[in-house]
Amino acid sequence: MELAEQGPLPTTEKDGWFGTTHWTVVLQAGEAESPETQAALAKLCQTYWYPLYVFIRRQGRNPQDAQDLVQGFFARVLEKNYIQDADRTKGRFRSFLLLALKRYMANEWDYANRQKRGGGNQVISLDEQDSELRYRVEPADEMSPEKAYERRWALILLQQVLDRLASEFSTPGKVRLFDELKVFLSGEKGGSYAEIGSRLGMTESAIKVTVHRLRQRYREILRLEIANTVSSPEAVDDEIRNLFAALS
Amino acid sequence: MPAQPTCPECGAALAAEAHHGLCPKCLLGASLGTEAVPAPDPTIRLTLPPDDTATDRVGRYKILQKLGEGGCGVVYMAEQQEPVKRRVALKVIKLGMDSRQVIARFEAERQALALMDHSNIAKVLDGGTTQTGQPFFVMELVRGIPITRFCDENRLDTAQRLELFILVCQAVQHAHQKGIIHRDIKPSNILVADHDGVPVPKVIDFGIAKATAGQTLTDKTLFTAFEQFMGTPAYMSPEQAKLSGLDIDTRSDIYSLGVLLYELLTGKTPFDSKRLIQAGLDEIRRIIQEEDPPRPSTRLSTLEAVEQTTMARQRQIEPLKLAGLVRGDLDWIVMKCLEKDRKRRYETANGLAREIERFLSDEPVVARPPSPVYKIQKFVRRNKLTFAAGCAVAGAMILGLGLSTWCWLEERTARRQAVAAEEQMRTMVKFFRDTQILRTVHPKEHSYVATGSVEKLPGLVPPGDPRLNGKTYTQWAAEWWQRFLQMPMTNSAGAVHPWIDTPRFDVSEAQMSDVWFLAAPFGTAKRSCLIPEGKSLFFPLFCVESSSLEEPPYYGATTDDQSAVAQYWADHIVDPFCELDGIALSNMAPYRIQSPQVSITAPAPWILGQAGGRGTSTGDGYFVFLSPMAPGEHTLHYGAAFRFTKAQDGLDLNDKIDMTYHIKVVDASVAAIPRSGK
Repeated sequence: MELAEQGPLPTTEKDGWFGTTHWTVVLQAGEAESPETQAALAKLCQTYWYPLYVFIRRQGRNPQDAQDLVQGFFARVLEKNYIQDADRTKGRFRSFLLLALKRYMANEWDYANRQKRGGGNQVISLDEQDSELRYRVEPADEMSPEKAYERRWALILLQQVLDRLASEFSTPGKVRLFDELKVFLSGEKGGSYAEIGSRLGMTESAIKVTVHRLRQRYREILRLEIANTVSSPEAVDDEIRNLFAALS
Repeated sequence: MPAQPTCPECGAALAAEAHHGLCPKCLLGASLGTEAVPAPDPTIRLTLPPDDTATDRVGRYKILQKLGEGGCGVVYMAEQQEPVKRRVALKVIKLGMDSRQVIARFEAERQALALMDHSNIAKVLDGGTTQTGQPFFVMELVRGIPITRFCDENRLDTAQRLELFILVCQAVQHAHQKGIIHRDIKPSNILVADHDGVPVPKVIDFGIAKATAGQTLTDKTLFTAFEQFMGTPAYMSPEQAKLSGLDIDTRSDIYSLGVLLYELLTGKTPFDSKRLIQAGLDEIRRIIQEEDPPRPSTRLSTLEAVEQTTMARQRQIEPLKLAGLVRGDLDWIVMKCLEKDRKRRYETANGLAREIERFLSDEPVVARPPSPVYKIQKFVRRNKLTFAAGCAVAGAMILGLGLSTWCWLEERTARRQAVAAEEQMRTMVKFFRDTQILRTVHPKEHSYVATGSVEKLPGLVPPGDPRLNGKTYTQWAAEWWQRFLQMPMTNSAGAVHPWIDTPRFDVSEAQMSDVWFLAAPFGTAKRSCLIPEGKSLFFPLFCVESSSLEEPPYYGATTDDQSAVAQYWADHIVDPFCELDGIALSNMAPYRIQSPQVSITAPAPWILGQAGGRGTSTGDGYFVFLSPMAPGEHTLHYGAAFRFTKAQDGLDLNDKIDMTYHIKVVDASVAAIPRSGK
């Protein structure tokens, strides 16, 4: 039991970690069903449902079934039993979610009694129309459903991070700045500081400094987003490496 | 059908799902292995940080860090990879000069420069053009400090100073024999390095002045003509001051050597720098060409008593004896170097050196070991250092970190430009001064300004008050205006904002009243101000100031010690930063303050407030110049860190300034602007 081996969950604030990220909120609640727990879990599900969809579709299910499955699963996962699966997933929400889904699909989902489309209790809102459209542009390759799930997870995460970073640059002056400089988030070769500088009327040094800041902020947000899905600060680095591998 | 985009870093095809067009793998890869906890207060470096310089190359040189800035360009420490691996100094001449001309001239000299081989000359190794078309020069990297400072800090006595000076003369002689004239000899171009306890002076920047000589200013306005003289005109020879484009020969260097000798002996230059700074362009030239400077011994005896003590202390000699030592032969040697008529000076640097040697051998040499290197600890504890945000400055001089050079003008354009600049300067000073007053006095007192009776304003320091230090309001404003002219021409606060000026900064007459000097009040936590729209702001951000403003000098510590302490702190400023509304500014520039010693000064008499008092101030700091901002709230966030290490400085100390200044720009029709500027 990974989580048990980590010892009891912290009861005092440590570096502000305690109780601040989504997944730790859920974990520390354990059996309780407080509104905070529900909200945290709902938020996580809202963000990361699509990788599950990808997984299900990869397994061969049709779009309608996939959507029903996702909805039904989320309705189920908010119940306390499933949280115990977290013990076996090293505190990673990503792993937990997939494990829980598999269990759900194996044991509980009633194919025959699946909800009619449009009916039933929708726990979270999925953009059903778009989910299949999104899926269609997934690369068609021989990846296993699990690998596809992880890969999609990584992409969703990055999307979150970039969207959040972009939103911090949403004032008219900064939008252009972000557009021009974001290319440097992945490395140095995307452009030339001098050239961009002359386009924006900034010196190379000013560009350099802004890129530096942008990168720092990107890293901060990346770590914050990942922190939402792991159970301890130490696990963040590990998760980054895992996701990097998932993209290979 | 458009080609599939690929990632510039890893070459992989970018799928349609690539968010923002960025390769997800590289995005993640870029963040692997970084610090675990996001820093709460990121410090911005305006110098090139080591981890970002992998791609900063100039030719075959890899830039490591910025060393300093001068009138003509920027100097970096760089690493040469081939054919040998070594560290060099790389100087990039700033844009605005005709690069081809500069390089052509340099090439012409290069042959001769390559033949120079003297232990007291920093070799010029290479030259070329950067990718952006700027000429650059590569020189031997000298780790040392200006000779005058070295002598003062190490308290070298007169004989020791003379011996160092002889070495410098020998270096200059060597160059002259190769047909190379320096043209810009001054303390900041003579760095003294410590080689196993032996001080070794090295003359730097040979050949540079000539290469950049004769530049017609292509892209500059009139005011940079004035700018040329903002270094140390004190070292300029009369024929150079003439700006006639006369053939400058080796004897011009002899003159400059004479000025150096003068300063080593007396601590002052023949014509006081402060005086020259206040004077207009034409006045400077007149003084240098026509006025006779006082003899060194006379200069020494007319110094104020405290200054005398300081000079003597720095030279390890009784005050009375110092003047006596200098009087006579040394006087004569120095004055011969400083003859207006170059035919009457020493013919060669060697001739000068031999004279000094003769003088030295007649005098009993006092064998004294050099005093211990200046220790900071005791002064850190004993002296009070104030970090004054936005402090206004008295008697300011520009310090170009010891690496500035002169830029010369063709005579024709120079004369025209100089005259026009002079006139413009006077008009501007008046506007500038009046604006400052208008900013700080109550509107109902504005009429005094309008009628030209500024002096009647209540609450102003009255004319003749010692705080004015013998200067008029206009002179004070003139100094500030000089500073204003020094500011970089390119505005770099971000062209994405429509209200930022285009890079060229043209100050028309109509605009002159629109420059406001922003001074943050001392000692208040909240820093904010209210200004009407359309004003440009000159804003001194912070300075490391050593000041005895509130307490008498500590027993045993002279005001020179305090200046040295301030200098020491200022030398350890790292990571200065400044942002306006979250965007980094790159036109933050250093400045230095130096008030007269042991006299009562006020930063600027018309800025009403509690400033001023008894004591002195010296320090170094940074300022920015902001173009008019759009109405609304703006935030200026700035600061720096101070870093001392056990290994290098003998103590571990980290400190920092981090300040936020709120600027609210309001519609110009706002009638009354409160005096406190809130």
